Formats: sequence, structure tokens, C-alpha cells
Amino acid sequence: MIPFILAFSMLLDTHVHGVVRDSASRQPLQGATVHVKGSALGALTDRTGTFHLHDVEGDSITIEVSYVGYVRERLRVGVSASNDIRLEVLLAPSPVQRREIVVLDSKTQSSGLPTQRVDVLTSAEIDEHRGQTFADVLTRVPGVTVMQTGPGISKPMIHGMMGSRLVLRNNGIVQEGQQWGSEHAPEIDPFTPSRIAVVKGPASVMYGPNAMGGVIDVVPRPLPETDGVHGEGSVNLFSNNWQGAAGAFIESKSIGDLPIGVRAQGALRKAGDATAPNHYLTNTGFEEWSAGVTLDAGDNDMGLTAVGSLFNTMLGIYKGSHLGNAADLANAIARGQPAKTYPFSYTIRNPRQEISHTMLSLQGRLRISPEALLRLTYGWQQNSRSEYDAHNSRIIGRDVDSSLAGTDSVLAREQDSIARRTTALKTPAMNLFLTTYSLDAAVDHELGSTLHGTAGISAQRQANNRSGTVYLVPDYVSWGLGGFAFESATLDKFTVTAGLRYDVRWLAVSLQKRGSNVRTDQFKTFASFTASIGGLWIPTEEWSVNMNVATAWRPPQVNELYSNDVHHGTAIYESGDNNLSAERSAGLDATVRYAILGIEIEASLYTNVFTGYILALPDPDNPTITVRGTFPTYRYTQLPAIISGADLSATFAVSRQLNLYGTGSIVRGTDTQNNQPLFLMPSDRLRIGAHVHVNDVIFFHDAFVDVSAFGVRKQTHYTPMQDYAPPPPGYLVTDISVGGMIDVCDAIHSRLTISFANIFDTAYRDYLSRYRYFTDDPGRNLIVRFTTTF
Amino acid sequence: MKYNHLHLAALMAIGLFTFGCSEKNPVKPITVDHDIITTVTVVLKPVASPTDSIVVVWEDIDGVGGANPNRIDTLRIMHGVVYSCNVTMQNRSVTPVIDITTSIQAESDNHQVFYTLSDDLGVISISDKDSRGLPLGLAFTLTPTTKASAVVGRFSLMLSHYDNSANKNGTTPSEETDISIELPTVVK
Repeated sequence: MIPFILAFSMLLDTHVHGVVRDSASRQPLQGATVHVKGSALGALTDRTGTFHLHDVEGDSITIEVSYVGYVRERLRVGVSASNDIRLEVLLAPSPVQRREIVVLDSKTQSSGLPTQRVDVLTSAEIDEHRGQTFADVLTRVPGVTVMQTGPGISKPMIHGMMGSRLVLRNNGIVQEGQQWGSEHAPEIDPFTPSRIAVVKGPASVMYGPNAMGGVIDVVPRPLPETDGVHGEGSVNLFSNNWQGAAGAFIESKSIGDLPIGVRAQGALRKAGDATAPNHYLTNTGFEEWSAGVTLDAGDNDMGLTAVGSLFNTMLGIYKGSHLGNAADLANAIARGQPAKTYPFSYTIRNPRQEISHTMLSLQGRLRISPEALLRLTYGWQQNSRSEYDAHNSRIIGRDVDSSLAGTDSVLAREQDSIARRTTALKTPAMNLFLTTYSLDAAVDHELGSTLHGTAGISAQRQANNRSGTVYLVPDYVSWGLGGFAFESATLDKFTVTAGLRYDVRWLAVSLQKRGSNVRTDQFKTFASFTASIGGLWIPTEEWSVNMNVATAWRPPQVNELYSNDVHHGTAIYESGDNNLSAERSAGLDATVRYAILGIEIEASLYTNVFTGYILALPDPDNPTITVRGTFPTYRYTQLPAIISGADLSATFAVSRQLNLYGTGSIVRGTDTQNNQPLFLMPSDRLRIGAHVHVNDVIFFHDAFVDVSAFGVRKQTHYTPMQDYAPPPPGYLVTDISVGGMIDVCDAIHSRLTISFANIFDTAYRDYLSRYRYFTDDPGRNLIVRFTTTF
Repeated sequence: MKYNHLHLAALMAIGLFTFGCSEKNPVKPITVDHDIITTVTVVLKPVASPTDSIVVVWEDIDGVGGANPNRIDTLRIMHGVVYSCNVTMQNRSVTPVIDITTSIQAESDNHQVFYTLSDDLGVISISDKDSRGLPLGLAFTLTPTTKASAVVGRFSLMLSHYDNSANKNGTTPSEETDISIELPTVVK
């Protein structure tokens, strides 16, 4: 709904001027209204789409641009820095096509290399599609899928890569949680006022080894430049699990007379059991709250931004997925649905997860010469993850120190047992406490008129403190140090970027065996380089071509090296291998984009060739025998692999009111040593839809109706021996949304969207859902989203 | 003026950082370790001559994971002898040894031990009951087969836990298995 803006500032007079264009065709729009809010100033664009506003008053103004058949755009423009503001305003004819392409803002650098295609979800788009979890909205970007562990836990996957192969940035620093677990969702509030940039492809030169698969960058919205207190409040309601969610923020360019910009935000979510078409998913509720403060002082040439945030969540784990051993799992799969169904409840019982994430970041900027800007970023974050087990907690030995020891009455034994059980249920089976410090220094520089780039160093210290009886990752301290540089040259229609990075990671692990206090230490060093070269070619206005070649590496993660326990949800015993070496990839990706009036098509192709790709494979000849039975054992190993795929998106404007759109993606992963498909690759998917946009309906303006069908093919590329159950059949779900804007007294702007996800209550199972062995995915969901700004 | 404010902001931000020093979880220090069962012992007493008891042990002293079980005895029983049996579960990885059998007795309504003998090696019938009269399974009677042909097979023991005692009916195992072990068995 919000088109992208290209804003350039030059030195002249108090004069705001610019061109208004169609965002798809770049055709100038004649007769668009440009109006300065709160004043009588206004203009109409001429035949070339140009407008002029003279004698603009104030430090900062809000300009509103509207045109029949297009989405109204409101932009805040700072006038104090320069007396001559040139704007290029791109209005979107279709609310479907809303991805920003270029954002120029001196406070935030681009999320990817200049030659990489960056998909940006705008705050309006996030607002319109915000789902049950943070990751849900990302599936609007072709090539991004989610791995779900129930409705409350979803983990993003880009081009078949997830977890330790992706970097998630939040407020300028790389988020560090326990990313290795597929049931460990990113600790980010879905209401964070931001846009989300997605880089699909290696960005390791910028962000270090773990960015080999891509980057998800949560970029906070800039603080306001106009006077007064602004804010936004949102309420989301979901019928499927009776989730209520609310978020709000207020912001101001100053605190009283102090020129310190400030924003405070908070959000709350509470959900009960989700509903599959035939039953409730017992114990899948969640409770979440988060809060954050952003302070900013200074200007573009010298300034400091400080961000602090708290995130806290408690998530239930689906009761039917919590099994004692492999035989229980086989029974559950054979049955295909829960043994017993329970009524709807908001209560969260064991098994459950409790996670908190505290983050502080300090970002300083200083222009050290007209051609160079120094950026210093310090980050501190603490992630606490407690997993409460319904299983281990029940049988607890007698407390030998208890005053009840030696008592033999049945009553005393029972009391003792209940007391111990109560304690056990309150005690996590596993707690992981991860503290990460990071320091980054980078200089953005210009060398002459055509060459610009960034060079920097980054350092990190991370300490993990484990407790409990689950031995998936040990205690460790790791240090990382990296240095990088990338330079871009822009020559007429070509941009060429080359980058190089070198990283060293030290890992000191303190291993403790179950039932033993003896610790053994291991020390490991990994070091290697990352390189990338790419080009962007814009031969004509209609065509653009991006191409990138990159090699990236990633040291083995602690769970891949040292995991030694059962994943309860899946009854798999995971055994690490401390002799694993680093994984390396060599990748090629190309994106072609074609846009003419009313038609926009974008296609991407990519391939990543891995040496030493790390994955867990079943070892049927050497199962793990335990007192709870025999568990299939997956051992971490390395092999050569290739992951390739394609993404496609297209928009076709049939008329000013009607747009048709489609997005699709295909991923293929192959273990080239055994020439068989890789485990858990997303299956082929396609979304096609129609979007009807009406200017004014009663008191709504910019009203829309969106109908789309989302089809997912059955995963036919899999290796039978690597899974318990064959992939589920393909499915087709239909989603319908209606909504629009409501303005009250021209001062309060609100947006209301009502959506039906899976409107026909289709029963289906996604191949990437970890609950597909036990139950269908959630069914119909009526979603009401309301946002109001002030 | 501008730079003073900048200094103030820097000081405020640095102040925010100074409390975040501990790398040990301050909130939930875990002092109670979840218990583990390392050892299952079955004592078989011939009904006719209780002093000639047989003791068989299944033991994985380092608990779940690590090394596979260090001891899995073979159960050797004789045709025509009826055995009265008791089972105990212990955590022997700690000193003193923790007896888990008493916890199961205390929560007898939420547990049941299921037994099977493969290859028609014999019949097992549970002889103890929970508070509602349903089988518990810590005590049982083993009657070996009289068929001379059946000589080698497996004795399996499975402890089911029922979150809700109402789900226990005496015949259906739960899907939360606390113990599931097998002992090679020979009938002579």
C-alpha cells in the first residue's frame, strides 16, 4: 500500500519539488494532488508528473500525495537540513505490489550488498498480513517458507536454509538465541514498528559466517522529524486459537526541550489451543509480552542511537507430540490424530517453553570526512530458554535428605511423591542461558565519484550456561573476530560489487556427562574467508538483471559437535560429532526483472554447491538403547550437497481496479555423495490471487478485496529411510481479505482488515510442520486487524 | 548545547549496559536434578523353593545417552517351575542409591507395568493392584511354557505413565513410556 520513496537532498532554497510516478511503469502521473498537511500549501502535478511547493515553513512537514486509482502516500520530510528538497514519489497502482526496491537513508545502510536483490516488507504490508508469529508474515516473500512446530512456533527458512545458516538482525545487531533448534522460534515481537528486509542469498561478507543462506533484517522505522507526539496502536484478533494481540508505540523527535528522539513500544499476545478442522491441538497456547525503548540523539553526521528491548514468551508444546519412545511415536503416526481430545483451553501445561530475550544496542555514527562515515555498534543480549518436560518430571527419586526419608507409611510416601512432582514440574528439564556481546566498527566511504563501499571489523563473545538434565548443547564460551571490505562501482547502467571477509572463531567447550560432575574441556579454532562478486545491470527502464557469485563458510555449531540427547517432540536421539569441520558453499544467483505499464515479472534462479554440508542422518545399524526403549539415532555428518531453486513473482493490472498476481517457488536439495534428496526441503508452492482496489466505499477509502489460493505440492523429493512417515499429500487453501482506511476528522487514520485464512477449513498437513506426524495443521482462521495512528 | 546532550545520551546508554554482566542465569538456579532410572532388577523366586531365587539386571549406569547399557542379563528359567517375581527400579548413578520403585507405588493409579514374553515362552500375570483394584505390575507371576520346542526369546517390560489416572484401564498402555527394556530369555 505504501510505495517506495527516493529522496534526494540538494542545497538551494526553501523549496520542495519532485516527480510523482507509477511505481511499476515509472510513467509520470499527471494531475496528482500534492498537499502539505496542516497548511494551505498544495500543488497539482503537470504533464511530466512534476510539482513545486515554495515557501515551505517549519523544520519538518508531512506531504500527502494522492491520485485516483492509486494508494495515497504520506511522507514526512525534514526541511531543516536543506533548503531544497527533491522528491521522487512512486505511487503503487496495486496494493499487491508493495515491495520497496531502494531505500536511501543515511542512518541505515542497505541490508544486502548493492548488487543483491532485497525484498522489503513495508510496515503497512506487515500490518496487513501479520500472522500468529513473527515469521508468518515473511512467507509473503517468494522463496521464504516457515518450519512450524504448532501455531505458536515458526522458524523462517530461505531457499531451503534455516537456523544456523541464516542471520536475523534486529535493531542493527545480529540476534543471538538458540537458533539451532527447529522448535526454537525467533525472539522478536511481531508488532515491532519496522520494515523487514529479506536478502535471499549469501550475505556473509557483511554479516559473517552464519549469513551463508541469507539475512532477515528487522529495520526499525526512523524516529519522527515533525514536532509533537506520534503513535500507533494495533489490535489483532484470531478466531482459530482465540488469540488476542495488541501493540502500541509512541514516539517524539524530542524529550521536552532535549533534542533526543524517543520511541517506546509494547505488545501483548495471548492465545489458547489452536483448532484443526476436526479437533483442538491441546496445549498449543502461548503468552507473550515485549517492550522496548529507542533513543536517538544527533544528526546524520554525528549521533547515537540506543535501543533496549525485552521479550518474554511462554509456549505450550502440543500434547500429542510429546512421546516416550520410538514405539509411542509409531503408534501416534499410525493413528494419525490425538488419542484423546480435550476441550479448548488457554491453560499452558508441561511440556512447555519459557523464553526471554533482553537486548541492548548502542549505535554511534560519526562523519570523519566528507567521504567517510564511521559506524560503531555495540550489542549486548541475553537469551534464557527453559524447556519444561512433562515426561522426565514425573518419576523422581525419593529425596534422601528429606525429613520423610525412612518413613514407610503410605501417606508419607504419597505426600513426598506429590511434593517432589510439584517441584519437578516447576523445574526446567533444560535451561540454556546465552549471553552475547558484539562490537562492530565500519566505515562507509566514497572513493571518487563512482566507487563507494564499506570496510569494517566485528568482534563477538558468547557464553552459554546450561543446566538441567538434557544434554543437547554444552557450556561454552566462543570468541569471534572478523574483518571485511566491499566496494561498489557504478558506471552508467552497471553496478559492480566485490567483497572479501576473513573470520576466526574460537570455541571453548566444557563437557559434562549425565550423572557426573567431571568436566572435560575442548578447544577448537575455525578460520576461513568469504568472498562475493556481483553485478547489477539496468539496460533499459523495463529490464534489470542482478547476478551474484559468492563463497561462504560456516563453522560447525555446538549442537552439531556435541549434541547427545533425545529430542522429546520427535523421539529422535541426536548425536553430535566433535570432529566435524567447517561447511563451505559456493553459490550463484541471478534475478531478472521486467516491468512495463501494468505488468511486472521477476524471476530468480540460484544454486548453492556445498562441501561438508552438515546434517543429521539416521544410523539404523546403531540405535541408542536406553531404559525408555530403543531410539532411532541421527548422527551429525558431512557430505557434499547442492541446493538449487527458482522463485517467480508476477503482477498483471487488468484495470485500475483489478490486479492479478502470483508468486511461486521451487527448491531442490540433493546429497551428491549418495545421489539422494536432502531431508526437509520445502515442497513446490504457488500462490495466485486477485486484488480489487476501490477508491471510496461509504466511509472507507482505499478499500480492497483480496482473494488468493495457495497450493503446495506433495514433496516427492525425499529419501524414504530418513523419515518416519511419507510426506503428506499436497494441499490447496483459500484466503480472503477485505479492508480499507478510515479517517476520523482528517486527524486519526485507521486501517481495518478482516481476513479469512483457510476459509473452507481444509484439513491439510505441511511437509515442514513438525506436527504433521500427529495431527492436521490448524483450520479456518478469522483474523481482524485494526491499526490506528495518531 | 548539542554536544552536551550527546554526552548525556551516551552516559545514559552506558549506564544501561553496566548491569548486564552475569553470564549465569540469575533467575532459575536448578538444584533439583531430574531423576533417571539406571537399573531395573527382576527377582524371580520359584514358588516351590523361594530360596533358589534368580536375579536379573538391566543397567545403563550413565543414563540415557552416552554408552549403551553396560549390563543386560539373560533370563534363564526352567520348564515346569512357576516363579513369583518382583521388580525394582533404581538410580544407581548417585550415592546413596535412589529407589524409584517407591515413587511408582505412591503413584500407583498413574502407572502400570506391562510384560510380554515372545515366542510363546510362557505366561505372565500381574499380582499386585493399585488403589482402584487395577493391575500395577511391580509384582507378577511367571509360568513358563511346557512346550519343549520354545527355548529362546525375549522378556520385555514396559512401564506406562498416565497423566490422568482416569485413562488407565488395566489393559491399554499409555503413549508415555517411562521404561521399555528387553532381556534375552532362555527356557530350559
